[in-house]
Amino acid sequence: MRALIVDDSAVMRKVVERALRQSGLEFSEVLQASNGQEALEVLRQNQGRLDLILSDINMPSMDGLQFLEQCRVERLSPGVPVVMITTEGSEPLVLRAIAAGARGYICKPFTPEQIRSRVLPLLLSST
Amino acid sequence: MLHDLTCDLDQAVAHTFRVMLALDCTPVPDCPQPVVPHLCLSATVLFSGGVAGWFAVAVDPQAARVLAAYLTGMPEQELSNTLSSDTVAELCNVIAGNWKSRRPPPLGNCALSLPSPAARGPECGNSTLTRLYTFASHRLMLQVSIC
Repeated sequence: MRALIVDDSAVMRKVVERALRQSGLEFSEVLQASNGQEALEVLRQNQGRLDLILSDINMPSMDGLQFLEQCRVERLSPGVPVVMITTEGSEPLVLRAIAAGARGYICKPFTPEQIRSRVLPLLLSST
Repeated sequence: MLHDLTCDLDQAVAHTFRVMLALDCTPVPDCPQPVVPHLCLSATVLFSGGVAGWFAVAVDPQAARVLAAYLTGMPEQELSNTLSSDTVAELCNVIAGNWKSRRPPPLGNCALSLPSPAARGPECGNSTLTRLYTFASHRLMLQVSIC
């Protein structure tokens, strides 16, 4: 499996990748992007080759919700589950993320087990 | 009000450290005016909306390196200064978000900015709550100001 992690914080990208690898799920490659614009470019270059996207919401340049919207417009990742990981757990924001196409939501701070429990059902249902 | 803010702050800190770092982080008792020497790395998150204000975290460089090592699982000697700074920024962000989520509106509904490397936010006339915490033999200082 291949995953894409989108977060403006380099340390959080490492933390999320570590959590993914500790979750027991096997990823052959974990790609990274530091904002929505970079993530779109990664998706354009890896169409049909990703199984999971984990994205922060609050990012400079292009935030996670704008990224989701652009993915939909360009049909860059149809069927690929997107899980938002953010400090903002307010209901309006969750609803906006779901409306924009997110399939799951994880609030920071999180444990590897929380990543696994959110991600595994999505991966199983998308295969 | 101040008591509730402080309790929520202590719980947000303890929860964030326990979940993300597997560390205990507790308030330093009887420290009404905390001053931590050699505070070099800091981060500030602004909140806006129903209430405006800021939330700041500060630690010394060695403490930041320890935090980054716990957070990433990397050996301290392999950590760059950028990762240490990034760790302080992210901790500020996560603790602020967790603290905010424990508060009722209007504070609970505020939007958070991206963290910046500033030591504090703009002066807004009101008093600032300062708390000092200890973890793994290091100190961390938090400041919250609500305008």
